[in-house]
Amino acid sequence: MEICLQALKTVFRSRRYQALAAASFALFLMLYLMTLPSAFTGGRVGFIALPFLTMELAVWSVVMAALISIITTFVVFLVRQGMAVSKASTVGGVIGGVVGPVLCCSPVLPVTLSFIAGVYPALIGPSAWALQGFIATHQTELFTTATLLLVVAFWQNARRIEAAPNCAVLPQADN
Amino acid sequence: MRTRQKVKAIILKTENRALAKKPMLRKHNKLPRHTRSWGLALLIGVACGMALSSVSAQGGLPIKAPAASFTIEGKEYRIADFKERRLMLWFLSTWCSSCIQAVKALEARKSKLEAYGLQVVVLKNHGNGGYPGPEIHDFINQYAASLSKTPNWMIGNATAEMGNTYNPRRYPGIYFLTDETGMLGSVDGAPAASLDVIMNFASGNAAQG
Repeated sequence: MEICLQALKTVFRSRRYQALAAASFALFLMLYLMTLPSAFTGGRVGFIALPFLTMELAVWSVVMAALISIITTFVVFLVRQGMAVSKASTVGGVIGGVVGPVLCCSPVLPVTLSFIAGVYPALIGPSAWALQGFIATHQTELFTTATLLLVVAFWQNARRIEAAPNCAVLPQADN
Repeated sequence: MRTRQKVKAIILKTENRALAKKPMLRKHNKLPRHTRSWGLALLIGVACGMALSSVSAQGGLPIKAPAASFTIEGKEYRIADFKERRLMLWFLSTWCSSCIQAVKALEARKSKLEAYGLQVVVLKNHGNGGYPGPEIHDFINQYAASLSKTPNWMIGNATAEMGNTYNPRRYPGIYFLTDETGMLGSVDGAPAASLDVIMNFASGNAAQG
């Protein structure tokens, strides 16, 4: 916890990083607000999904957008310091948060499964079609997992920021 | 000895300068292969999602509605029985979120739909789209109870034959709008997101829809 707070202080000392975080928050918030209700619109993403927004989805959108905007800012900070960044959990978090609602109740999975079933019938059993039902009925669990992955990414990058002064390549003193 | 130290210092300086150069940084921060693959998969997925973001189809329509029959409360009906009426034939799965939204949205407009004389036939997909869920009547009673008593609504289960004819790809929800002449003019997956099309069709303004 202390590491996270310290990393936030280190990065957000600069106005440029504050502006970057604000801009990316606005961008990701719009992305989530237009994507998460797509489970109600048959997979339609965009302004058409906004009327279907519920309070629960709005809260998830704010939480995930806030985490991603902080992680994005951390990543930019680390790259500028010449440090490695943690991306795997961030990618997992984004996929879990966005792809879940899009896959549920949209034609993407049925079309894909029908195509595979047409080419390799043995690969697609009746249980493959249950995937959409599983996604639709476990939306909250998927959002929770996505958020946890983003929290892990946040913590991993915060640790790297705190380690940055020790790991950065310092100029060598002339002998 | 001094010369050797000087040479070493020069090499170190050069290395540090090289590290600070952008191409080196880019190489150092290059995404791992698995992350790039995931990113690529995500991009392809989003592109497919955008391309196929709804079941909506107008191309190749209108066509004659395929012949099929279904049974509601022991009585057999054929699609041809609904000639001379505008028909909305809707297949849904009782776990599907967009179907829940749709029954609520259609219930809110049931008086208008009834006044327009639109016949609505709601059938649970054969096998419920591959995932367990409540029975169709329980589903309707849970989300839009008044629909089960509305005269222009018929609620039942699709047969395997009907599913193969109208929903071979097993979409969780899909509806068809058929006019008085038995011509199928519109297909979509989410009634709640395309209510204007349904209302225009029901009111007889299908061309504008």
